[in-house]
Amino acid sequence: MRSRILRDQRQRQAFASHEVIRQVYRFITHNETVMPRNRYQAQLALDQYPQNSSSSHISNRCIETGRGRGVLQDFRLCRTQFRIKALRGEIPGVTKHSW
Amino acid sequence: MSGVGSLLTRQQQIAAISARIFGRAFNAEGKRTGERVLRQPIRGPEVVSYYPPEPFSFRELREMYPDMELIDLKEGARLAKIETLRRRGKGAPEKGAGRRASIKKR
Repeated sequence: MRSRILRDQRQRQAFASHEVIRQVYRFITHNETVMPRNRYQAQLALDQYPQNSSSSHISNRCIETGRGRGVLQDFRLCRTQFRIKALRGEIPGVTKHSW
Repeated sequence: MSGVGSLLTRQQQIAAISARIFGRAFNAEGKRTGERVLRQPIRGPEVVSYYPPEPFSFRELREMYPDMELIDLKEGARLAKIETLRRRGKGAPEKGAGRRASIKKR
């Protein structure tokens, strides 16, 4: 699972390094006032970029275990780790409810 | 502007003038200009900092203080364990001497 975290971290860095230029190309492709030929070129340029640098390749994983499912985004933890830590009182402001 | 104005409806003319006065863009045909993309915030730094920074390793600690002669107890214990296993003939084979490697050679 640790390797998944490392892979995701690599993807995040790839996304961050290409983000601005990708945004420029996306602006051109989305702009209807630009010549269609140039828009097509921008689209082609976007396709040339590594797949990794796309934001959709990033997944929010558990920061403790690297689990990809059942992750509570507010705490960046999977459900089991969230439970363990919350019961230990390691997450500020979270208490077990009882009524 | 007057040439264009004759083709526009009265409402559009007002919109064009108000856009000129208040410095806004006037888009009569409702074309997509990609403004939406430009308005998106840069998420890179936030995305990269999702995982907490890794605790630094013993090697890095040693490199930080080269004159302190730090001893990695865990690494020493690991090497000692391997040494005892080797002596009893129970250690892992050398690289390229394992069962898998000998199969590939045939």
